[in-house]
Amino acid sequence: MSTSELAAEVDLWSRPGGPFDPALLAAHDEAETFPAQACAALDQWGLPDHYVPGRHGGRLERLDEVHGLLRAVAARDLTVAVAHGKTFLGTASVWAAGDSAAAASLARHVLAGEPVAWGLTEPDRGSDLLSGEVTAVRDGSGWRLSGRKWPVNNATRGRFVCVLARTDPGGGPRGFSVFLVDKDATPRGTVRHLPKVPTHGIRSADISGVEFRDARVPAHALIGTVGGGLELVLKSLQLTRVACVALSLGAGDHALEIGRDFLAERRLHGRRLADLPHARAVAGRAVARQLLAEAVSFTAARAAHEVPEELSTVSAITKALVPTLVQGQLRLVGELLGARSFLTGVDGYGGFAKIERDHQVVGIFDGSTWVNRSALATSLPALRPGRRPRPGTGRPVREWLRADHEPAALDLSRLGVMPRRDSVLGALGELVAALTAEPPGGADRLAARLLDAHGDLGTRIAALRPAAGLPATATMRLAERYEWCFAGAAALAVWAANPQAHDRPAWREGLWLRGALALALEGLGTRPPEANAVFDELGRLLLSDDGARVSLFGTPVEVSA
Amino acid sequence: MENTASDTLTLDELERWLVDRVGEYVPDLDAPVDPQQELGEYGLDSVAVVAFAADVEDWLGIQVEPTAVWDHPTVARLAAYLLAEREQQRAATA
Repeated sequence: MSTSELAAEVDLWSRPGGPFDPALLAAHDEAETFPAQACAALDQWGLPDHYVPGRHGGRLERLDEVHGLLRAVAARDLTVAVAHGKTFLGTASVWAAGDSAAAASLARHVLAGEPVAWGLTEPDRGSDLLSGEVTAVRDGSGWRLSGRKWPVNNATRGRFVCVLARTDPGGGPRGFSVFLVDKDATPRGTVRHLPKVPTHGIRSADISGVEFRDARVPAHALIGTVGGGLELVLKSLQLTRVACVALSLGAGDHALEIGRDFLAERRLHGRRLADLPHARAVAGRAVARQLLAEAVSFTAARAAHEVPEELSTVSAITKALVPTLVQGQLRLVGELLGARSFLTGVDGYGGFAKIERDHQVVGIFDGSTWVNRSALATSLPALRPGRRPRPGTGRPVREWLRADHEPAALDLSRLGVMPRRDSVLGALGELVAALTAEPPGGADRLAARLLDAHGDLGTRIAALRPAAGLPATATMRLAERYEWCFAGAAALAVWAANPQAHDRPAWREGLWLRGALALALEGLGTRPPEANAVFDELGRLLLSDDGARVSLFGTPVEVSA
Repeated sequence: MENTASDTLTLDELERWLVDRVGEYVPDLDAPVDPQQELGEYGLDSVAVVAFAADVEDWLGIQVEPTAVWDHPTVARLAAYLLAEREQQRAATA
């Protein structure tokens, strides 16, 4: 089975009468009813196998493959991808804890198609995990849980819910533990479902809640150690934040497809819309956002395997930046579509408003952009220049970003909460130097400016004063600048790692790289004069025969049989 | 802040350095940091813990996980842990 096979399958299912028929999914969206047919089709195809690590009997080996699969589903319907992919998020803590008995048992259920929910959020607690009020108290060899988790995706449908609960009444970073609750095994009446929450997007997903009323769970429901819950959740989030940006990429694919069709067929003042320079530049900017988002996502997926010690920052950057890039991409496509972006019944275009509505949730769950940016902001001092660099253990970034590189096995025991280096941004100097030796289409000029911005960023990080509490606004701005520098470095690294792709349409003359660097420089507050010309070129690419599926590598990563 | 701790660092010196350093993170205290007081009370539990651990790492020249602050949540306990950890890590690399 493979990513492209799933993509082809989803295309077949999208025909009239199929489980992914847009009319059917629009009706579910309208009625706020669960897209059961689509999820059943994915179950039958075997998608849950890819949520379970190989050593527990599943097929999850590589995060870039997970990206390919979730992206293929999201490119047809984002709600379905959110509803189904949630199980991957719900199980992550169990795989990360490394407890083989718990993992083996959960693996069996997931392989059998049981959905799993992840109960982190509580009413009125925002994103502050330390403020959680759901409690677990010892009861003989087991525990009793009380309190509400809400709003939670899959809370009602998921037979299993992975819960962060307070085990020390005083709370604190060692006051919480993770429990995997099998709702079917709790005494009758002790677990109550909270009603589905009406939402602006992903209307048909099961966004509801669960209330524990002194619900007894056995000793083996505890995942990891007593008091180890916060640390375990922080590490699990690193994985899920990297995984779920595939939802953004799929939404971007879907939107570009709609935008491309429209540009090609729409006529204004006797000319094709595609022939108007402004429309082309807007389209090209949308393409640049998509490809930069893909470069960052691909880098993060590979980083999870190769430099898991750095994933605390890489995942925060990725989750802050990718949904933001794609939300902006959707806005640009919406601008092109004009009135059609707003109408629901227009054949072929009715889906656009739904994509835009659905996608807003990606920027929110697993920590919002703000939450991720503040996590990065508080870690910046650990990344200050001049800290004694620890010898790198692994291969250079330009090696492990090669498309056909076989990533190191995923080793979740290497995840940490403190970054000591940034292999991607740390390689910026040599990447820029290498580009200068062989400058594609003027990309070296853009890269040199990125290097300057990075030098300036280092100076500012070095000057940060110690501070407890939430990061100051100025520190948050630095974190955002760090994200853009990282994104530019990721683009350069992907470029350098893949000379075999340099003659592909989007790569010729460094085209996508120039678009990506121009966006990064704009994000850093400069206006590179060559930006408009680059975006015009990318707009032409979208409208050419090669624009049917805009992506860095053309075909998704193949899942090894 | 001195760049690195001396080789003959004592528990008292380490404790004093930690008190000063925590004080830099929480500048508006009306009394010096109490070595017996939980660091979480000073706002150093989870938000600033990575930056703080990085400072400690740089000064002691050893690897320190931020979670050490969670497991040894007062200056007194953290100092004892760090001193032992430093001896152990140096013995391992000697």
